[in-house]
Amino acid sequence: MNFFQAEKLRLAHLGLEITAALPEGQFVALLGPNGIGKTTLLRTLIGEEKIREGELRLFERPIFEISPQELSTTVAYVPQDHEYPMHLRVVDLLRYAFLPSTGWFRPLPPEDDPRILRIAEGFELSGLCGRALGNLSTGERQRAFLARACLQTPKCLLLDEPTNHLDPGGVKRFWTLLREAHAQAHFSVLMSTHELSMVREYCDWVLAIGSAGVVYCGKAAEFFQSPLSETLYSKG
Amino acid sequence: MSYKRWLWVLGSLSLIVLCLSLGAEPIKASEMFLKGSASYRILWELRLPRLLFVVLVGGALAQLGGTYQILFRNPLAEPYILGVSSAVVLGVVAGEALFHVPVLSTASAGLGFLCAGLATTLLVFISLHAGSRQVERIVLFGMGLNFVLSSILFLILSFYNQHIGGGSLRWLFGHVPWISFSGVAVLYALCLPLLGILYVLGRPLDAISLGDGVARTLGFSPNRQRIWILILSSVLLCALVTYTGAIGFVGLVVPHAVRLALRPSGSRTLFAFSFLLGAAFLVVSDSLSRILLPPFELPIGIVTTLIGGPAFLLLLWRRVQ
Repeated sequence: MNFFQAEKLRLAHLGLEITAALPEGQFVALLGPNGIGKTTLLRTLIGEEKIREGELRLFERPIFEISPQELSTTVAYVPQDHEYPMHLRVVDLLRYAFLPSTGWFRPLPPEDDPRILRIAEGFELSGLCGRALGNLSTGERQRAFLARACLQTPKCLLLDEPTNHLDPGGVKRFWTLLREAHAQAHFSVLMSTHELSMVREYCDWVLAIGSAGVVYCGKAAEFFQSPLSETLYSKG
Repeated sequence: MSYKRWLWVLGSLSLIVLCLSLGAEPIKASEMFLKGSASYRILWELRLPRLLFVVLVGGALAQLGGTYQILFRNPLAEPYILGVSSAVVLGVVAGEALFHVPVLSTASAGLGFLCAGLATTLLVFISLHAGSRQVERIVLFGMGLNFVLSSILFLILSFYNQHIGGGSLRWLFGHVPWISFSGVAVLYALCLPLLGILYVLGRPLDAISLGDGVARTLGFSPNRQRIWILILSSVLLCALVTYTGAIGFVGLVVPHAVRLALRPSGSRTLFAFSFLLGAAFLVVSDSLSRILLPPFELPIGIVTTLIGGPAFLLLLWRRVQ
């Protein structure tokens, strides 16, 4: 099954046409120069942007058919500039991962819920649970957002340049943790990024977008053997 | 709940009860339950309804302030920021100035509701078109509306100054009227359900506080919640403002004080404690406004700022240290 499938898809405000399919369970890097529409594509997948033309399917279902409840059990999302209340504690952020299952009235799980403790440990957040998000370093905060998304146990994880403001050590750590989580939970990942060396090391698939549309959609290894990885970002 | 939170609850409740005994006229303990005595009438027929009214106003303003701060992701948001209350004020003052409709009458409240309804419709329309990336546009639009309405208000005031009695002027700066038990009952019947629904909407607000995209993948649709909150809060605000005018400061500062002091884990905890603290704070301010310069009653808006301002700065200062 494909977790992502686009047929002659045209996004809001953008000229390019996307036709691509990504098989379930793969760790896919979404590549392309700045402003090409990576963020818009991810936002379209969660219903934040409208489709102008064509079709977009998530796990074989057209996205306009997917209800908010269904979306919450399918997709977890880590946006580029993640909003967060400064005073929110890490543990409460993690508890929010259970909002889809508790709905409006049932209480969220307690702070010492084993699932929360386990994920906090896995993402090296155990010592930070009581700290406010505003008091964390960027790297710690991004790990917390990633942990929240994984704790939601999605079938598919969408990430929008999550390592943007991290130092090289932090970038490496983030990718390693994400890869480990992917290996354990087998969810599909679609992650926009500019870190080609990390993509080469960690990703299964590459979906590369240029100004004309999809430039490459296939195995990561073959992408790096082709000249595309060099020409993708060159102008004109 | 931690002992610190219990302390805050107990402290607030005892402050509220204590304030029943404060006023220009001392209450004789022996006559408290003696039907027909002066103390009995002052306590149960004047002060208690007024206290209940102030509890509702203070609590509601603080809870609304907290709601708007999360909804618009803006720490400076407060209940009056969107111009809905200015619309009420304009309706009431224009009613008195142009048509001699007395303040606090049903007709006056009707005019206020009408203007607020128009303002809210505009705001809902803007939110529908602003989309999730432009939440700040809703606030900006509301602030713009606020300015326009306020300047029309001042225009009317400067032309019709001599036609306006003390009524609207006092009311403009925030004023607590003496209110009967039946009046309070009607207000509670209207406002408590609204506050209850807004409390329940704290759940989606938790999700919305992480951004609209994340909220969507947590199973809520942010635009729909925003519009519901806008409509419900406007009705609530309207009901309160027609009685009290605009009492500043409570809605802005109490939610921040709760955050600083108690670090609530979610919107609902924030709302509950904001309500309680806002109620206690406004009750104390109201009592002070009556006893500081008897028999004059100071405008309550001035008292809230005078005692709340320094207290808040102190709290902030201790956190910064």
